[in-house]
Order: sequence, then C-alpha cells, then structure tokens
Amino acid sequence: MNLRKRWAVASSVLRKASRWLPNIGLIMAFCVSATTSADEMKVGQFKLAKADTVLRGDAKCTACHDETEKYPVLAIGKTKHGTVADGRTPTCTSCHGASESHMRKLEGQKDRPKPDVSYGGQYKSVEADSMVDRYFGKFGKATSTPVENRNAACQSCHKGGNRMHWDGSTHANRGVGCTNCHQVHTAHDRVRTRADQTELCFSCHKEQRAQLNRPSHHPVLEGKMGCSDCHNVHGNNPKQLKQASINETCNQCHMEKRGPFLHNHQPVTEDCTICHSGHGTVVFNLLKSRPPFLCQECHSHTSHPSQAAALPNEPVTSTRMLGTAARGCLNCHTNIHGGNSTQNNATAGRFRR
Amino acid sequence: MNNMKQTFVLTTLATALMTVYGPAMAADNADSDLISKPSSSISVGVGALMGDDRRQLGIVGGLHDTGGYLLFDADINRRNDETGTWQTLSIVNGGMSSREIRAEYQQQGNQGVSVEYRQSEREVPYLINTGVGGLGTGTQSVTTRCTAPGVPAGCYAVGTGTDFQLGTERTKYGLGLFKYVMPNLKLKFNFTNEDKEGNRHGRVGGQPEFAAVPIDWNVSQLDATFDYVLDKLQLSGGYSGSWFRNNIDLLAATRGGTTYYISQPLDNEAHQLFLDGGYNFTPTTRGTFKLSYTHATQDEHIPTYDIAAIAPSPTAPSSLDGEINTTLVQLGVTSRPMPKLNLVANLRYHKVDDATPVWFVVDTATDAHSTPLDYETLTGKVEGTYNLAHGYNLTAGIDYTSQDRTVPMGTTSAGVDTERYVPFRSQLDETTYRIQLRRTMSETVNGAVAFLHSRRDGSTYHEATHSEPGEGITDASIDPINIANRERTKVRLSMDWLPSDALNLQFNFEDAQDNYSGHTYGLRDGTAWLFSVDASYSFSKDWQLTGWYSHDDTEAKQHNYRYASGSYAAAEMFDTLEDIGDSVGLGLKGLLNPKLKIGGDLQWTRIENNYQQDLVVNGAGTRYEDPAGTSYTGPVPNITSTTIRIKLFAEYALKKNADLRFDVVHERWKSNDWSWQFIDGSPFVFNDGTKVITYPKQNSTFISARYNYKF
Repeated sequence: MNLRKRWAVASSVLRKASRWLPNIGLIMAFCVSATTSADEMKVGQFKLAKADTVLRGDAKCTACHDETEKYPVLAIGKTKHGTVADGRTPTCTSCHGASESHMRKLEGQKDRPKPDVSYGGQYKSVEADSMVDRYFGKFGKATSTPVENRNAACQSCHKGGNRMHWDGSTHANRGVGCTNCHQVHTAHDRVRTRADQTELCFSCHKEQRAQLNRPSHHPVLEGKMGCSDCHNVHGNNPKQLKQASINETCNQCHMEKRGPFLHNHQPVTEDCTICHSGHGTVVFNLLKSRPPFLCQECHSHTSHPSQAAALPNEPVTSTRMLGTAARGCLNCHTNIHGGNSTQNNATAGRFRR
Repeated sequence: MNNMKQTFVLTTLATALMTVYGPAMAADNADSDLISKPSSSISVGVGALMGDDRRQLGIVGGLHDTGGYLLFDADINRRNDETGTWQTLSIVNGGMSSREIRAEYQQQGNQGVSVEYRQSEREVPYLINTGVGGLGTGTQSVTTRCTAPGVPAGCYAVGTGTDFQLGTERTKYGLGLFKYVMPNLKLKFNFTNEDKEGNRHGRVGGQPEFAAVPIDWNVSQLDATFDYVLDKLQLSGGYSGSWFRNNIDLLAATRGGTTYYISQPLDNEAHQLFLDGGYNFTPTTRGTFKLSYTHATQDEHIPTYDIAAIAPSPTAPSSLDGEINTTLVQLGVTSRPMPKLNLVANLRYHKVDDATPVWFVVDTATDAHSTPLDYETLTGKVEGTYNLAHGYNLTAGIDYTSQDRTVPMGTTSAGVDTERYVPFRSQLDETTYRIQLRRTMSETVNGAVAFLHSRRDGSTYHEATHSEPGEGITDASIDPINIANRERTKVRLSMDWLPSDALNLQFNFEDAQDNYSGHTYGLRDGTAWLFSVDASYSFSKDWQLTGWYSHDDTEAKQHNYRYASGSYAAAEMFDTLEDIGDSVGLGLKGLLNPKLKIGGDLQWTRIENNYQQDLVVNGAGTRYEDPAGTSYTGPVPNITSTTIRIKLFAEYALKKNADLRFDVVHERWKSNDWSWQFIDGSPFVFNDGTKVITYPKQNSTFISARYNYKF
C-alpha cells in the first residue's frame, strides 16, 4: 500500500473515530506530544504546527498542501524562491496572504474559502517533453483575485531591471498576470526556457504560431531562438521589443546590416519589417513578398524594374527576365542592405557592387 | 468553537499519521528531497535519421543529414542550503552541432558567475553545382557556360562542377558576472563573442552569375549595468557596446578577364549609455523614464578605394566616417485615480541622427551621392481601462506618432533630385484608436473583443527621377509602401471556455484590413484574417487528447505600371497575391500502466501561395519579354507546400528516477516552389553554368532511444 492510500485509509478511519470518540484523539495527541518536539506539535493550543517543510513558516500550509494535492506546492523548494538562505525569498503568506478564512473553514460552509490571493488562470500547455510539438496552449480556470493584486505580490520584489516598465506594458494593460505565464511551484518554469516558452506565448498569439509554421522562419520552433530573444514581454517598447526599435533588435544578431553604408537603402535604415516578417513567411529570408512584387511596392522605375513576374526557360542575361526566378531582383542587386563600393559607376549606387 | 473542532480533527489525523507512518515517511526522505530540493537529470541516447536529408525541415537545429546521432542532455542543479549557493550545468543537444552549454556558480542574492557556449548551423535547402573557383575565399573565378559542347573554348559544361553547400555556422561564447554591492544595488557584466563563418549566396556583377560570398565575421557584445531597487524608486543603467568585425571585406570575382569587386559590410561598432527609472509617487501612481544615447560608427578604410581598375571619383572617400547618433527619451505615467480606472500615458522621443558626411561617390552620367538618413519620431500614447460590472473591462486608447525624415538630396535639376528613384516624404503622421472589451474574472469563460483603427498620412511627396510617368508627382505616381497613406482596421475576438474540468476550448478570430491611397500605383489593399480553435480533453487523470486547427488568409493587391522595354509593351499590372495557410495538430498521451507512458502527435500544415496577375497591355509589344530563342512565361504558377509530421514516443519507468524513452518522428515535406527552376521545372542555371539543385520532396524518419536519469 503506497503512502497516499495509507493516508486515505487513515483519514477515513480517524475521521469516523473522531466523531464518536473525540477524546481518543486528544489522548493520542498528548501521548505523541511527549515524544515529539515542540515545534512540530502544539496540541495543547489545538494548533497544527509541524516543522517547516520548504519555506520559512510554511508549516501551517504544508500541513495540508503537499505533492498529493490538486495544486502540488512543494516543488517550490527546487527553485530560487525556495532558497531559504537568501533572506529575500518569500513565504507562503507573502504571496498568498495570511488567508485566515482559508485555514479555518467554518461549519456549514460547503467549500473552503480560497486563500486571500490565488493564482489560477495559468496558460497551461502541453509539455514539450511529452508532446513533441510546441504549439498548444489553453487557459486553466481563472481566479477571482484581481490581476493587480496577484501581480502586486510578485512586483513587491520583482520591480527593477527589465520589469521596471511592466505597469505601462501592453501585457499589463490587457489583464495578463505574472502567473498566467510563470509557474512558481515547479522546478522548471517553462516560460523561462528558450526552447519551451513558445508553448505559453502561442496560447494567445495565434497569428505568430501560424507564421512560425511557414517555410521561412526564425528558428523558434527548432528551439534555437525564443520569443524573448527579441521581445521583452515585461517592457513597454514598441511591440514589446527588447531594444528601443525594430532595427536595434534585429541588429543584435544581424550586425553586418547595421551600417551605415556608403550607399544606404532607405527602408533598411528605417525598419527591417518593411520587407521582412520576423516570425515567418513563405518566401526565402523571411521576405514578406516575393520579388519582383516586393520591390515593386516602392519601385516603378522605367525599364526592367517594372517587369511583370514570369519565369524564363533557359539561362538568360537580360535583367528584364531575371526579376522573378532564383533570388529575383536580388540576383543582381545583391547588396540590397547597403553597399560600400567607391566604384565610379551607377551600379554601385544601386547595390550591385 | 467551529475552528476548534476543525483544528482538533486535523490534529488528530496528523498525530495518528505521525504515529503510524512516521517511520515510513522517514524512510522516504530521499523521495521528499526529490520533491522539494533542486534536482538534476541526465539524458543519454542514440538516434538515427533515415530516408532523405532534412534539407527543408532541418535548415536549423543540427539534425540535417542522414546518419547516426549521439543524444546527450544534462540539467545539473546543486544548492547548498546553508549558504544558498547554486552550481548549475545545462547541456542541450550535447551530441549535436546545435549544442548549448551553460554553467553557473552563484550565491543567491550575493554574487555569481556564468559561462556559456552556443553553436548553431544553418544550411540552405538547395545544393549548388558549380565550376566557380576559389569558393570560400575573397577571390573567385567565374566560368563561362558552354552554349554547346566545347563552345566557346574552355567553357564550363553545366552539371560538371563540384557540389557546394551554402550555409553558416555560429559559435558563441559568453561570460556573465553579477554582484550585489549593497542589498539594493546589483552590478551585472555580460560579454559575448560570436564567430559566424560560412558562405552565402552572392553574385559577380555585370551579369547574373554565381559567386559565394565568404563569411568570416565576428560579433562581440559587452554590457555593464546596474540595478538599483528601493521600495519606491528603481533605477537601471549602464553601458552597452557592440562590435562587428568582417575579416573578408571585399569579394573579387574574375570573369572573362574582368574582375568585379563586390563590396562587403565593413567593421562597425556602437556604444550606448542608458538610464531607466521608475518611481511610485503614490501606491497607485507610478512614473517611469528611459534615457539612452547611442554613438555608432563605421570608419573603416574602404577596400575598393585603392583598386586602380575601378578608380573612384575624385570626391569619393577612402573611408566613410560614418556616424549615427541615436537618442531616446521616454516619459511615462501609470495611475489608478479611482479603484476601477487604470490610466497609462507615454511620451516618447526617438531620434536617429545620421551625422555621416554626404559624399559625391559617382560622377558619371548618373550621379550618386551617399545618403545619410535621419528619423525623428515623437510618439504619444494615452490609454485607460475601466472595470465594469460582472468582471468586464473596457480599454480605450489613442496612439499618435509623428515622424520627421530627412529627404536625401543629391544632384538636382530644376529643383528635383535626379538621383533618387522613389518618391519621398519628409513628414509622416499616424493616429491609432483602440478599444477592447474583455472579461477576465470568470472561472470558466474568458474572452475579449478588440477593435483598432489607424490612419497614416504625411506631407507632400518629393518627386523622384524615373519613377513617375513624365516625372513629377501626378496621380499616376507610386505610393511607396512605408510612407503611403494608409487606413488600417483590425478586429480581434478571443474566447477561452472550460465547459467542464475535462474539456478546454479556445477560439480566436482576427481580421485586418489595410487600405492604401494617394496616387495610382503601389500596394492598394491588404487583408488578413485568421481563425483558430484549440481544444484539449482529459479522458482521465492519465489520458489527454489535444487538438488545434488554424486557418489564415493574407491577400495583397498591387497596381503597378510596366514601362515598355525590350520587346514587351507598356501595361497596367494588377497583381493579387494571396497566402493561405491551414494547420491541424492532434495529440494523445497517456499512461498505459504505471510504468509506461505513451503519446503521439500529428501535425499537418499546408501553405498555398496564389499569384493572380492581370496585365492590361497598353500599346505595341508583347505581354512578356520575348526575345528570340528564349521564352519568358507568365503569370507565375501558384505554389503549394505541405508538411506532415508524426511523432510517437514511449517512456518506460525502470525505477522511480530512471526511464527509457523511445521516439519516432516521421516527416514529409512537399513543395512545388519554382524559385530555383525554369518554367518547365528544370533546375535553374545561372549564366555562368552554376546549377541549383532543389529538393521538392523530403521523407525522413528519425528514431531514437534515450536513458533518462534523475537525481
């Protein structure tokens, strides 16, 4: 018989016994208290208080809550929150409130009152290590604790650094709570792992899920990038980017395109997403559209730039027939992000040298 | 009295359990540690990829070629509970070329050090067969394609060259340090150094001929920051520096006795000072700010300057003296003036000042100056959220963006820039109105409806040479996509519903409409919509079924003018470009018995790109270019790409902390993408004879067995 079954049987027997013979319990308690340390049992005060299990002062909670509960709690001991030697770490009540009514269910009450602050509504996801693709997300049951109150518990400590601008962020102002994404009572808070965090992000961001399943995409599904490589979900930059602008964010990894160049291509200096979609597209190099269509969103220049899209039947040299096949316009305008040639030739200014 | 009764029962229970099961619980201390103490795991195994190389589906990730793979992952976590000192080691994909290793030693709340190593590869999904010499170097020789056997003399016959795989590899090292010098003051130092090597697609110049641009880059990043946190005041600031170094800064490709020089990115660097802050004026009102100043330079010697064969104009520079200074000032306030009302306001000033000198680079018949570009953007945002009754929240906001842009001005004629090819605007303004109603307080039903409308317009267009029929801005001009007048409307609906504890449902619908206006040509309309449903059902505690379906449709309508050129006629071009995506996912996992967990997962994705081209010919000539001997056929065909991925796993528990896991992943990819093909479906061949071999189908299976151990 495993521990859980033993507990169930013992509970049942003792519950019945306590109705009929309450004094037996009292006698047993006194007997045991003689052999049990004072910090474990204070039966004389009719107060359950065994030793702390994980956090400081958690005894009154862990007397009921453990890993067999619907909401397992003890794994918090595996985390930074559970490092008791760090005096800054929380107790149960610093996050959940004193929760006196929760601890003392009154007679006649059908359900035990919830703790003062409860944190339902996790964007649950299928675990990537069990279910192989990282795409699925759903909500768990929500909680009646207002999101401001839930977040306040976290922000009482986590209010500096990257989280400084949380209050002004889009996430904060759309009712997203810290624990909608973060799991506290688990060793592995999946949203903090590059390879796993998309599980949570896709819970809401379906458009990005669709885009990342396009043939040309950043290696997010492959686990080599995470959403947080580009986005600071706690910040209030445009599009909640890590950096102040789109270009500064892209330049973190694509610094060769930062320039400045002798021959600048204007949209490159303004916004990478004029031509590229960061999450994914159907065209090589995450281009939003296929040349020559893409280039013709700005260029209606005489001669070959205005050619209609079509395919040749053999190797050709005419620029009037090379705007579509292979790399399209980029077959010739290879330095489209900018060129550094001083060659005294117009082609240098057209990103061909 | 009630409390006493309750407490008494609990006490009795606990006491009895302690009496009866105390010894058993003591014996389970090791299990208890597994539950509540930092734990570690190691996973070792082997895998094999069979069938086709994963050319499309394995572009990144290290699992590309068929053959055997060593699988090794580790997650080691050790903590000294007395001192709060952690020692961690993480190894991901340790046996593959996408390995990531990170080790950290830290005393929590005091100090720490970490080192990191990351590696990643990217291979293009096609193969090059070429006679080009010197691949991988900065000096390459290009062949002359045989137009008939042995003609011209010394020519290169298509398909007789060497196979060459384009791709890159990144190798990154990192070092991180932190130290709390005071309880509220944390200093952080991070340094990363990344090498990127390989080859990417390039060209020679003059004619579309193949060359492989060699990549030998180095990128390093240094961040030194402080975080100062008090109850009401938080500050964060420091220095951020980044350096790009290119070891091959010029590609010289010789063809037919002529050498073409293709410039490459030159070394550049940026240095940023920043300070962010937040202050709680009251418990319900908070102010924030951001300040940053970035000085970026590119002043390397320009390699082409010294090459006599392509002597620069007398006014061209030997180095760019490039300098871009970026300033960010942002002020924000969030407040809850009454319990049910939240307000957010932001004012943001962002200026990119390109202080690079203007150089007169090309002084031939077609002049060209260098074009430093400035952007000065002021953004304001006001948003309020009011908590209505029954858990409803109403959010409304306005964003306003105003941007001043320099208009690069080169050689002019009658006041018109004769160098620029695209009309330009010196001022852009955009106002966005947003409103959202959401319900977030229900335990089982949550949802939101959001509506967004924005309008963008700007100053008068500055005309550009060659881009306007007859020149000058007329109705028959083009509106460049990034500065065109635009009205955008978006609607988004989402709902999450838990009809029962076992069933979860999620519905999403998004629709966006863009309408461009102003002149005749350019992108005219854009639409996008998406519908998705996600569901999961728990048959029991041990069995769960999940599924999702997503459909999206994006369409862009362009109107362009084709000028008569060569043999083809002038024409009005009406293009409708549509991308349609459908994805289905289905998964099942469960416990067959207490020791055996199994699961399966199916994903099917189909992407369709439709190209509807209508040419209304205006004048004499052909619809498409039609030179003798060569056909140029349009419109282009539609493209359909399909991915099927089936994943199965079984995990057998050998003991409490060890299991064996078996995985099988079968993938199928199919596409009729014509990017690297001629119109008849044959491989595309560059003018030099370089052939591009594509792989329209991929059927591959990966099997693996792992031993997982937790401790």
